[in-house]
Amino acid sequence: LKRRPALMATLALAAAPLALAAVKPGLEGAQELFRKNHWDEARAHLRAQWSTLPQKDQGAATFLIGRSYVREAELYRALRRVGAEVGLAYMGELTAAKLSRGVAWIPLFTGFYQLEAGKDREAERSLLAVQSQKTVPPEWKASAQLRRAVALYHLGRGPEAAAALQEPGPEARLCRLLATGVAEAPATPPKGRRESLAAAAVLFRAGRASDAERLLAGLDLDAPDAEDASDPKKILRFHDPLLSAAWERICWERAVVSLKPLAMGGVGIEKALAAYYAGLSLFHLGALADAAKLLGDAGPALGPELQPTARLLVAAASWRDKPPAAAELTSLWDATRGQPDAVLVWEELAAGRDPKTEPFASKLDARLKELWLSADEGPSGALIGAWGLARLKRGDDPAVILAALSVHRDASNKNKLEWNDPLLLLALSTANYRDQQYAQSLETLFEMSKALPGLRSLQWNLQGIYAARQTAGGEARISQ
Amino acid sequence: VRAVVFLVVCSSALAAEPPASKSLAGISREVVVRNVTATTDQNEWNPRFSPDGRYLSFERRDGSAQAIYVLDVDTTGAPAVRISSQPPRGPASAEQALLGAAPVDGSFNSQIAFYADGRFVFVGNGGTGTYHLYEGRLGGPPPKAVTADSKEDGHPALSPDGRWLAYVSARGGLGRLILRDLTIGAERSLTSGAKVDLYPVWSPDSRAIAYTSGDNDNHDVFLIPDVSAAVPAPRQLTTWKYDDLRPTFSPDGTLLAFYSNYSPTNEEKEWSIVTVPADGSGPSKGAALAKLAVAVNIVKDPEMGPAWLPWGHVIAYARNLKAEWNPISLVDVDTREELRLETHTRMNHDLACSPKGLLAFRAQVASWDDIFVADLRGAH
Repeated sequence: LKRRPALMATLALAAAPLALAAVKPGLEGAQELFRKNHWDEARAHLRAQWSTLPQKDQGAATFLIGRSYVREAELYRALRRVGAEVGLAYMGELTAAKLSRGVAWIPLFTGFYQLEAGKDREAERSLLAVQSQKTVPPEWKASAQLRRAVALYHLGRGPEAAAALQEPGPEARLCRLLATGVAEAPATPPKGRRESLAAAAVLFRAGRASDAERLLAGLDLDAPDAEDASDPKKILRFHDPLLSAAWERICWERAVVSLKPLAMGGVGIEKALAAYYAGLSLFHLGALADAAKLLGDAGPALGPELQPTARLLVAAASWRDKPPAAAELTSLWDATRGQPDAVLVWEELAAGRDPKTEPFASKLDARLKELWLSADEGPSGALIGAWGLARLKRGDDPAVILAALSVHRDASNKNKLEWNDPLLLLALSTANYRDQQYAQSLETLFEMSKALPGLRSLQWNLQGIYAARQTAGGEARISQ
Repeated sequence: VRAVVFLVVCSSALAAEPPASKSLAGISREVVVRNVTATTDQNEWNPRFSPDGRYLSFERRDGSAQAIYVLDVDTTGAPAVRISSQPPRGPASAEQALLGAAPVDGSFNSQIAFYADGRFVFVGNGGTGTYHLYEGRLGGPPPKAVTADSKEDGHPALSPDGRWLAYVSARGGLGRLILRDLTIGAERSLTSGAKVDLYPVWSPDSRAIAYTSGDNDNHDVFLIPDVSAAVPAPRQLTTWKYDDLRPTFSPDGTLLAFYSNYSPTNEEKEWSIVTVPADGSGPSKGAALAKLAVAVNIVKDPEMGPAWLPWGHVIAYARNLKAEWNPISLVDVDTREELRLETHTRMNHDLACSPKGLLAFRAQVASWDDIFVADLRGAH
C-alpha cells in the first residue's frame, strides 16, 4: 500500500507532456512551446506567469496567445473538411454493410455529413427522410430538422427554413448563426456537452465571451454523440459534425478576444499583426465589415509577405454587398502572384464557390502547382500542409502529393508534433487515406491526438473505413 | 567423484571470469554509461570522435535544419557547439521575430571529419539543393564551402597525417573518389570505374584508402594501396554476390572490417561483420571469405562502419536481437572470443570508438534516441 503513492507519482510524471519537461520561464518558454506546436501549453504557461511577466514582453505574449488560437482555428477548419469527407465515406460503408442497415443513426448522420461537406441538396433530402423513421429519437429528429433548415437556407429557400431557425434552444441558435450570421443568445440554458458547445459558439458572437468560456471548462471534444450497441461485437459510434463547426468558431472567437485589444491599443508591428489576425479570424466568422476594418488598418504596417493577403481579404469582405469590377479583380490577381498565403486564400474563396473568383479558377490550379518556385525562404510546414490539403481537395494524385509533402516532413521525427506542423501532418494523413494507406494515416492521427483534442471522430470514422475495406483493418484499434 | 565435481565447478567459474583474450581482458561486462545528449524530445545519431578522442560529434534535426553538434567529452557539462553550413541570419519576418522564432536555418549537415587541430570538414547544402564540403574550426567563424564548383560532394575523409582529403563527388555524373592534396590544394580523381564509389577510409599510415563500390544490386570492397602513386590502382577485395559496405581499418592497419549481408544461416536480411587482411592477400569470395565473418546477425551502421577498439583487434558491435534491445558485444577478431557488455540501454546502434577507448553509441530513451558513452579502457 505504501508503494501506491510513489507508483501514482511515477505514472503521473510519465503521463506529463514531454514538452513541459524543461520549459524556460516567461515569454521565452511560451515561444518554445508555440514553436513545438503545444499551443494550449504555451497559453497556460503565459497565463500562469502573467503577473511576473515584464511589461515589455506583454504585447508579444498577448500576440502569441491570439496567434496560437488562430493556428488552432486553421487546423480545426482543415480537420472539419477532411472529417466531412471521411465521415461521409464511413457512412457509405455502413450503409453498404448488411449488418448495419437497420441502424437508424446511419441515415441521420449521413445527412449531417452531407451538410458538412457542402452537399446541400443531398443533405436536405436525407434529413427530410429521417423524419419518417420511427427509430430515430425525437430530439435527433429535431436536430435533423434544424440541419435541413440550414441546407434550405444555403439552397436559397430561406422562407422554408425560417420557422425552424427561430427555435430558442442552443442548437437552433447555432444553426441560425451558421445560416444567417445572426447571433442571438440561447433562451434556454444548455443541457450537457453538445448544447454547451453550441451555446458557447453563439455566446461568443453575441459578445458574451466570459459566459461562453464558463460553458467550455472541462468539455470533452472527443466523446461520441450517439452509439449503437445492438451488436455487442461491433459497437458503432457517431460524432456530430456540427460540434466540429462550433469548435472551429470557438477557436476563431478566442483569437478575436485575445487579439482585438492589442489591435486597438498596441503599437508598431504588434498592433499591425494583431489587427491582421483578428481581421482574418472575423473574416472566417463571417463578420465581414469588422474584418475589413481591422485588415484595412493593419495593411500599411504589415510586411510584404502579408500585405497582398490582407488586401485580398479586405476586397473579398466587400464582395457580398458590392460586386467587384473586373479591373479590381485583375489587379488583385496580379498583386498576389507568388504569395503563398494569398494563393491559398484565393483557393479558399474558390472552394467556397464564390462566383467572383470564377475568372481565375483555371489559372489558380497553375498557381497552386508553382507555389513554391517563387518562394525565397523555405515554406513553413503550415503552408505546405495547407497547400497539400488544397491539392488533395482538387483531386490530385495522392501518391504525388504524399511524395511532395514527405520532403518537408522531419524524417528523423516522422510523426512528432514537436517537429512537424500539425497541418502538414494532417495533409500527410489525408494523402495516406486517399492512397488507401489506412494504417499510416491512423498512425499519424494517433500521434497528433496525443496533444490535440477533437480528433477522435476522424480517427473513429477512418478506422471504420479501414475495417470495411481491408480485412487486416479489423485489427486496427484506437482507444475509445 | 569429488575431483570431477571440483573440475566442473572450476570450469564453470572460469566461464564467468574475464575472457582469456588479452585484448578483452580487463574490460568489465557491466559498463557505466553516460547519456551525453539527454534531450527529451529530439533524436540524436551518428556519433563520431575526433582523432585525439577529445571531441564527440553527433547529428540532430533542429527545426528545418539537420545540424552537427560537437561536445568536448573531457569537459563535463560543456555545451555542445552547433555546426551548420548556413550562416546565422535573423528571423524571416517581423511575425517570426515577435514569436521568438530561432534564426531560420534550412540546411542539411552531416558526415563530419576532424583534423587534428580542431578544424573539421563536413557535408552541407547551405540551405540549397546542392551538397558541398564545408570547412570550419571549433569556435571559429561560420564554415565555408571548400568544393564550391562541384555538383554533389560527400563522404569526406581526412588522412591521419593531415595531408590529404579524400571525398566522393558526383561532378562527373557518377560518384567518384577525389583526392585533394591539402598542402597545395591540387585535386585528382582516384577512381574512374562504371560504378558508384562511396565511403572512403584512410589507413592509419595515410598511404592507403579502402572504399565501397557498386550499384543498387551489389557493392564490394576495394583498396587503393598507395594514393600517392602516379596511377592509382584499385584492388577489388571482395567479389562474391553479397553486399559489402563501409570498410574500416584496424588501429594497426593490418585488417579491414566491413559489413556484409552474407549470413551463415542464409537469412537475407541478416548482416555480418567480415574482416580481411588489409594488404589484399586474403580470400575475396566463397567459403574462405565466409570463414572470416567474425560476428553475425549484427545491426549495421552505414554511417561509420565497424567500430574498432584502439588496442588489439577488437570490434564493438550491436547484435540484432530486438527482444534483448540489441545488446552490445565486443569480439576479438584474432581469437573470436566475445564479451557481451551490459549497458542497460535499449535499441543500441551507431557505434563509434575513440582512440582513448571511449565507446559512443545511440540508444533509445522513451521514444527518442540519445547518444551514450561508455569508458571501455579498464586495464588498457
